[in-house]
Amino acid sequence: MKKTSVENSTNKKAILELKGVGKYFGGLRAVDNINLSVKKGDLHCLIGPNGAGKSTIFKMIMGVYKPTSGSILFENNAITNKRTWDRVKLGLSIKMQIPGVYGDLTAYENMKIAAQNFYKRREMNNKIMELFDLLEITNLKSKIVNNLSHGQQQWLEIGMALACKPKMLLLDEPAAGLGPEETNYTSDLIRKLNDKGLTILFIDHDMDFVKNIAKSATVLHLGNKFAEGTVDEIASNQKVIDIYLGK
Amino acid sequence: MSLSSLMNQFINDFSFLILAAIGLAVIFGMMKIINLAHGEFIMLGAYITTLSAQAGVPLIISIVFGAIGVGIMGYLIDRLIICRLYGRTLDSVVVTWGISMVIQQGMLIIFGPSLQGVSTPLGSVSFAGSTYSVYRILLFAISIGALFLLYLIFMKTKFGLYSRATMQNQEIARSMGVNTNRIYSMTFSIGAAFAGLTGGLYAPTMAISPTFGTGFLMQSFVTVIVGGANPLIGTSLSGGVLGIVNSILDTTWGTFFGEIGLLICAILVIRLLPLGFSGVVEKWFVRKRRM
Repeated sequence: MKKTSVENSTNKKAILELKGVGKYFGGLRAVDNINLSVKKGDLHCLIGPNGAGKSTIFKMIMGVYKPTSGSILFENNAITNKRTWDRVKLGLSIKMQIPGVYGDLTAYENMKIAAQNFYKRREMNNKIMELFDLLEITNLKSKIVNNLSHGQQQWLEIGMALACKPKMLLLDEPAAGLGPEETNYTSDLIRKLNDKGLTILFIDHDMDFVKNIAKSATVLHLGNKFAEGTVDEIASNQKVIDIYLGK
Repeated sequence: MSLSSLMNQFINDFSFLILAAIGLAVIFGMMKIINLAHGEFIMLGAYITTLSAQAGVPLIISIVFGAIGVGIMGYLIDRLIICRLYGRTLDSVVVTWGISMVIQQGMLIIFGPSLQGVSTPLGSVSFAGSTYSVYRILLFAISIGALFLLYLIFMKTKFGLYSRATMQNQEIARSMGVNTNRIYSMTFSIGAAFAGLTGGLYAPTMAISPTFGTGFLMQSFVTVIVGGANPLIGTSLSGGVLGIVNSILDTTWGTFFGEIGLLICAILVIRLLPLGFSGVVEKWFVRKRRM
């Protein structure tokens, strides 16, 4: 019998683990006692309606928010109290929901800001050009970022995240605001990066997009883990369908 | 009013305005911290320089000591106090005002109301019927050198790139692995070091007392207000324009009218160009790059 991707990945080591992680903003419970494990090489999606706590989890993984409870482990090392830049140096990289790019600089200059911390001067230019080629946006390298389309800015930000030599990439709604062609390109890009061995955890609302690329998914609802499994299992789960439809 | 006396006055005013403002401009422009302890940083640079020179250290090395000493102190003040005020511009005014009082009163208690100064070195030269102080000409050259150094630090180094990235959007910079806390501390330290350098450079020309920095405060704030947030473009342009205004008024009607002229310039710029000279230049550059 053919094994599912999730079954295949159970033999692999977890690269990221969230153990009993919770986050309260005053009396508001944003995330409650979440346990999550992402295996090396996985392409895992966090889905859930608005307010489910997806972006809060991303911010806790990156060190923007400190969890109220629980711990976060990256490659078996506790990173709960580490600063964002230390997590990036360990191999965690993020593309934010709203493109986090410097609009008044060129695409190349943006990449340089990211790459300077991780590559020596001699190899940096080659690496940046390699990333532009991978993203197929070499023609944009001299353009001012504010002049690029939303999709091009998203891809540039993925490039910037890749310039940080990540072992794991977090993508917060990589297809948000994109047209069908741009969404297809983004799906291909994410699959291509995962095929090269990069572990990817992403957030998205678009179930078609998720079904197209994710190997596994975790559903969040009101700050709690609601379901977990392969994308097909999740898509056919009646309770998940209900919360998405607001039942 | 002869051209040579006007030139002499401009050399003095330009260097004074640039050197008085450069440290303040770095801290305000890059960190949005309004440092009311700027005058005290200048005063500390003057004290370190004077005490070193009195201990037998050559003046030029004493001035470097002044800059480095105040730079280190700036780093410590940032780590201990200012780091809690990033993004809180108004709070920083109150806190740095408190720091200024502590430093000023501390120096008064330790060293008394005045300190014996060092004499102005290098003598003077005559040119076209006017006598110029060589040290004042050197200060003019150093003020241009300081602007060039600022350009090199913030435009040509890895630190400068990170610093500009952090000031534009610290969240993106952090997610690119930039230790933004260190960048802020280094920037504050560089601003303080420039203030210390100014104190050291002017120590041989003025009476040394705990209120030494007060004489720089009005000019430094006016230069930063007129120049705008970009420490490099703003300081150089406003130093040039205000230097011309001040030297003409000063030479014609005296120091009082020179200072009134500076304040009128500040009022006009706040009214007509709220982002200062550098805001206008940056807008022009952005528009040009987008075309």
